[in-house]
Amino acid sequence: MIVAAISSSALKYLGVAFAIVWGLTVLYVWILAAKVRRLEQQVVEAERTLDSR
Amino acid sequence: MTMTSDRLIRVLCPVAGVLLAVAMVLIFFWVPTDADQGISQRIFYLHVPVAICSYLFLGVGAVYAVRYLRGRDPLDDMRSYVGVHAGVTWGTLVMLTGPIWAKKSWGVWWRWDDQQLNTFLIIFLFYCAYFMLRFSLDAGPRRAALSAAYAIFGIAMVPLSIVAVHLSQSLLHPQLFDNGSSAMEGSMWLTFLVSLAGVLSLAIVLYLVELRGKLLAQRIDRLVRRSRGEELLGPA
Repeated sequence: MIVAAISSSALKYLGVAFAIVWGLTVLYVWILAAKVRRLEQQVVEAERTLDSR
Repeated sequence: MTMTSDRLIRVLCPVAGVLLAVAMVLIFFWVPTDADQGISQRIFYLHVPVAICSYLFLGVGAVYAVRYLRGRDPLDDMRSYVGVHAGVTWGTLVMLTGPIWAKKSWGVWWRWDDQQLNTFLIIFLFYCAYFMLRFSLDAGPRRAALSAAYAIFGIAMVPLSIVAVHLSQSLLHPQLFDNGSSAMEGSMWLTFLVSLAGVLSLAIVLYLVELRGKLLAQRIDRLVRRSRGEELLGPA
């Protein structure tokens, strides 16, 4: 039943649309998380540099 | 960032993941197909929650803009900026999912005679220009005040967009909520609410994470200036 439903072109269209939207969302989340992680590392390094002086 | 927002991020992350996964199962395998629009109506369960998030965060941006103008706290300016940024980010998804739905329902990507579409487009472009204003000015109280005034002015257009579909004479835009009673059946409502809860949870997490990133960037800036022996001028 599911295979028959997926073979419908309207459902394929909808599936592709959802995949694009969620793909972009996941990419955005990944970029944001990577940026915050990098900034956290930079804070630690900057604090370490200041402490070592 | 406070411990509360850190805890909120940790709690809402899995909640958003589970709710969105459940919403996808409900959308594709459980909810009945709309008799009028067919399968393409199912994009409604993503399009409308995303639009609500967009409006909500533009509202958050305006609320913090008002707070900034009253208290002049730079943190409120940052919260307002992140709110507007989140609103525009979700607005981009609205601009993506809307035409996808329109193409299947109406056979065209866009209709220039639909008030709802055009009002949202105006709001979206207005808030895109917010960033041009903000980044054309030097960081400081003047930039924060002008950005706040712009964010407050823009929010006045949001109610226009919400009522536009009801005022529309063409009745082209899909209307799934009637006045007084729902045009959707119970299972459709449940799917919509699960999807809304999932998207909202994700949106709150992204807002908090982005705010955290902005505050970390400010902290790095302060640390770098301290290491250079510069005078602290306060957050940008």
